[in-house]
Parts: sequence; C-alpha cells; structure tokens
Amino acid sequence: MKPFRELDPRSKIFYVALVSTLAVLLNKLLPLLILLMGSFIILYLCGGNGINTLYRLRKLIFILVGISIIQSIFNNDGKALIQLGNIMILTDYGLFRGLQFLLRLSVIIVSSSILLTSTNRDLTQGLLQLRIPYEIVFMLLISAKFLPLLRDEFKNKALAMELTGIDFKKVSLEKKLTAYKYLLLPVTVNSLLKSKEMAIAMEVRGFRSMDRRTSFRELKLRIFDYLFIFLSVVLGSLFLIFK
Amino acid sequence: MGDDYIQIGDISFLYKKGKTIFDGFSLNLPGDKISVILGDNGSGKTTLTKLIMGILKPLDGNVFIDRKNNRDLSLGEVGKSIGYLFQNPDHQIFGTSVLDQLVWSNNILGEDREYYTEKANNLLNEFGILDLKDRYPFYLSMGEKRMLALASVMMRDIRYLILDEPTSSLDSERVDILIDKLKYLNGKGIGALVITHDFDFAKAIGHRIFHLEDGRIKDETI
Amino acid sequence: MIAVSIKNLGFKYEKSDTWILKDISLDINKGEITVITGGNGSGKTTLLRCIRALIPNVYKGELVGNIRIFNQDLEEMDPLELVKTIGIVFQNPETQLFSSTVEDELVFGAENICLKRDEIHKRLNSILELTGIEHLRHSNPNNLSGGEQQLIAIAAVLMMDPEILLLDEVLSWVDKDNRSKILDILRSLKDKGKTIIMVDHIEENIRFADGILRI
Repeated sequence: MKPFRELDPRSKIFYVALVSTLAVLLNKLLPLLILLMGSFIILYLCGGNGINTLYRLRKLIFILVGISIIQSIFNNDGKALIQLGNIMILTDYGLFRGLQFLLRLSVIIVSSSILLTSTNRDLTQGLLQLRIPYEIVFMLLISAKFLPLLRDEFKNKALAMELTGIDFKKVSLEKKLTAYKYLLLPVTVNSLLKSKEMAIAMEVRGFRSMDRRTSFRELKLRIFDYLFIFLSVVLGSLFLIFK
Repeated sequence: MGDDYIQIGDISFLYKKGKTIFDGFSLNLPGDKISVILGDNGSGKTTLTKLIMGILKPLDGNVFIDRKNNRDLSLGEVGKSIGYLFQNPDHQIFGTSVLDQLVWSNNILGEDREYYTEKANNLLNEFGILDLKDRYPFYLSMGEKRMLALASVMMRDIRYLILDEPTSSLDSERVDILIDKLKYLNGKGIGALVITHDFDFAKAIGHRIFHLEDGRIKDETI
Repeated sequence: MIAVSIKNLGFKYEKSDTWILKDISLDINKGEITVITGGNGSGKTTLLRCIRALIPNVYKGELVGNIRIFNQDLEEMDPLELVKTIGIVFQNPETQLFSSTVEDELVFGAENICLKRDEIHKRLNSILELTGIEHLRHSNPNNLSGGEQQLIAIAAVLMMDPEILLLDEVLSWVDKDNRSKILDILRSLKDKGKTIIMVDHIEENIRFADGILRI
C-alpha cells in the first residue's frame, strides 16, 4: 500500500485520463462494472475515502431513473417493462442506457477522486512539470482556495441574517427573494474585491514579471510509477480487446 | 435586574476533529453588568459565544438565556434579545448603504418606515457615522464598520450584547468611543459579554474579567 | 542617501472629486524607519500605493508630481525592478496568502523571479530564521492566527530581498506578542540598511520611528 500512497501526481493524472477514456469507449455493462470496482480498489489503495465517494454517488440514482425513462420513451427498441397505456415508460433498452450512463459517470467520478489523495501542492507541481502553463495552474489553485471561502461567506451572512429575526421559513416568497438579494450582492462584491487584492499580492511578489519561473520542488518519477503506468496501459488494452 | 441573564450549565463541546474545547464548563453572566473573557487564540472564546447564541449546540449541558433553554429558541428569537457582533464585521454587513444596513430588515418586514428611518438616523449619529449614511459599506474602514455593526444590532430592542474582539483594528479614538457607548448602554440596563485579548480595554469596561485557558476559567479579576 | 524622494505629489481617485493627496513632498533616507500616520481617509494607504507604483498602474486616477527611488524615476522602473526593489505588505493577511504550506508561500515569490534552487534554499532558511517562523515551515497558513499569518506575509515579501519595505497597517489583526515580533524584525532590517515605511494609526507602535509623517 505504501508505494501507492507515494504515487507521483502525474501518474495519477495519467491514470484518470486513461480510465475515463475507457469508460467512454466501453459499452457493455459488465466491463464497466469491473472497471468501476477496479477504480474503487485503486482509490482505496491510494488512501482515498471510498465509502465517502460511494455515499455521494447515491445522488446519481436520479440520473439513472431520468435517463432510463427518457430513453425508453423516445426510443422504440426494446421490450416494455413498465407500460402506461400505449406509452412505454420503461423498456429494457432504456434501463440498459440508464445503467450504462450511471456506470460511466461513476467510473469517471471514482477515478478522479484519486486526485484528491495528493496534496494541492503536489498536484500543481505535477501539472507544472507536465508543462501546463503556470497561469492556468495557479488559476486552478486559487479557485480551489476560493470556493470554500465563498461558501463560508454565504454561511456567515445567512447566519447573521437569521439573527436579525428574519425567519426564513415564515416570510413570504417575495420577502425571501429580497432577503436573498441582500445575501448575494455583498458576497459577489466582496469576492471581486478580494480577488483583486489577491491578484495584487501575487503581482507584487513577481507573478508574471518574467516569461518563465523556476521551481523549488521537483517531482521525480519512481520505479513504481513506471510500473503503475505500464500496468494501467496493459490492463486498459486488455479491456479494449475483450470488449 | 441583578439575576444572571445567561447561565451556562455544565456544557461539553468538541469540534469534528476531536479536539475537546469544553468539558463540564459552567458560567453565569449577570444581565446588568459587562463581563469580559480574556484569552489567547485557540482558547475557545469565539466558540463559547456561538454556544451561548445557539449557533453551535453543546453535546452535553444547556445554555439558558433569560431562563429559557436556548435549544428551544430559534436564532431569530435569540437575535431579538442578544445583539451579536462578529469578530469580522463584514459577516453582518449587507446593506447597499450605511443607512440601508440599519433599516433593511424592517423594510422587508414592512414595518413603520418613518419610525425606523428616524431611529436609524439617531443611532448613526450616536455612533458617529451619520455622515457616512449613503456610503457603500464595503469601503468603510474597519473602525467605521464596527460602529455600523453595533448600530445595526441596536436597532432591535436587545437586552444584551456579545462582542467578539471588538477593538481589533480600532484606533484609540474609536476604542474610547466604544468604551463610552458600552458604558452608556450599560447605564440603560444592557449587559454585555466582551471577548478580547486586550487587557487594557478589559480593565476599562469590565465589571468582571474571566481568564479563559484551555476551555477552563483560570481566574477572575474584578 | 535618499531612498525615496517625493515631490509635489497629488492624487485623485478616478471616481472621486476630492484630491486625497495634495502637494506632498518629502525625502526618506535609506536605512530609516518612517511612519505615516493620520485619520481615516487621510491618504496614508494612497501614499504607499503611489510609492509602490500601484498608483497609477492598478488604481486609476489623476496623478501629479514625481517620485524617485534611489535617484531613479519611479515611472521608468519596469515591473521586475519594482518587485526586487520595493516590497509591500498589506493589512489583511487573508488575501495575501494562498499556498497550502508556509514554505510554499515563501518560495512562490522567489520562483517568480527565476531564482535558482540553491539561492531559494539560502533565502528561505535565512528569512525563516529572521522572522522566527521556522517551526511553522510545514504548517497550513489557513490554520494560523492573524498575527502568525502576518509574519508569514512579511516573510514572503522579504524573500524578494527588497531594499525598501512598505507596510500598510500590518499590525491591525496582530496580537501583542506577534506585534512585538514584527517590530523586532523591522529593527533588524533597519540594521541591515533596509528602508522601512510603515502606515499605522496606533501611537504606541510609532515610538521607535526615525521620522513621522502626519497627513
């Protein structure tokens, strides 16, 4: 397990790209299911929280139902499983398409979760060493920092509003909307002002003052990384061959 | 009223990360006095204020506000009796102008506009920011924002104030104004709990000063 | 030697009718600590912004007068020269720190100006020691107090090794202990010949200044 925990972030990025592509290329449900289970195992080995991810996936059930029904109604193939008069609410084809989509999406989500097992710093360094332009990488980094702050801002203001005695459950819709306006405007303005300040703080420390930048840290691929990448490619190919 | 307005009875609380902040903590705060809690960062001062307001609920024990268990009160009900001042005033400022900050909730609830606007103007004057009344609040200095936050909680007929680090970023002139205001309000029977690490400020306004360390009251200074 | 020479400086923000700065002239010597003080809205922060050329590059408006840094026109300095010569630390540490560890935060600036790895290493160790935050090297800045965060913000700017350091109300969110740490750091910097210009409104912080400008 230890070598998995020390996987280079670039290996993880490669793995996610590979698995996501496979998910799109594979059609049958069984290989997709095996791919999903494999992703869970890899996630677990890398120290990710599989149970958490599984819990979050349960919300996808709605997508399953939605797509199944839509495909059933608008596609005349397949035998009806649930019928309402002349309209086929659910066909086996529709169900198949729904499940297919669900599995594909799940594979992509679960495999991407592996990226969360690396620290932000490692991931940015990995992206930088993969020659992604540093402006883009830092944009991602700042967004990752910003989003939770934005969420906190909302929470705090909503709390303050409740304390003023406006019981959100009891006021009319019109008043509720006005109240939300008071919530949205300052948060938006605040964010803009904050990001301006952050941009200035970065600029006065030389960000973009030169064409390139050096790197204090350096990620080096280890033997296990090469092994991991190699095996991923081999297994991936097998999947495709035995579609 | 010399009774204890806030009674904290034997509460326990810990954050999700497992760090126990309070374990069997009790404290009574009189409704007509200014109590001060001194402590360093991480001592649990802010958490305590949130437990009192009911923003956070203790795992064990109860907090009583005017003899009512705060578990039975909604935040809005608590907010009508206790004015809470966040450490960062931005958290409670959302008006489109300074004056608007004071009257917006009354406007939403459709109450007597004229009466509240007059009340608001008087309060702004009292707290020395009447000349800023049409300003967009985000460009106010920290000191002006604190005065605005204080003025806005005073729009409600609160009985008690909780202030979290009210003097940080205030220049000495505004600290003096704050001390005056708190004493004036106290003279009208409004008690307060002030959280601070500024000992001089604590001495200037506190009837009782409690030192909080590691979730316990270490000692009390009068 | 005169580090900063300001002549007849005036500035009016774009959307305003009032001239925030009116005909300001002063010379600041190298190796001195100068404090700029004044009430709210008096233009202290605006003055710092002018010295660091944030006005008029970032903050728009009407600028008159002239500033020279070590006898060179401020207008003629390119962004890289500015970064290496004049450092500025702001009041709110929240918007100045964005890395996951203190070490990363500090090396960010050094990487931006293309310093080589061993040079970064040298500076890192020396700044960590100067600011007394070696023990925080691998900590997440988000989890630290306002005072500690401000120490990190100052350390991060010092990594650029600027000759002139501007500080805008940096002590506002800082508790007493960290406040004295910061003042000690400024004194050490002065001993090394650095020029420090500080905006502050608290009288007790001003006592050690070589010069005070009240606006």
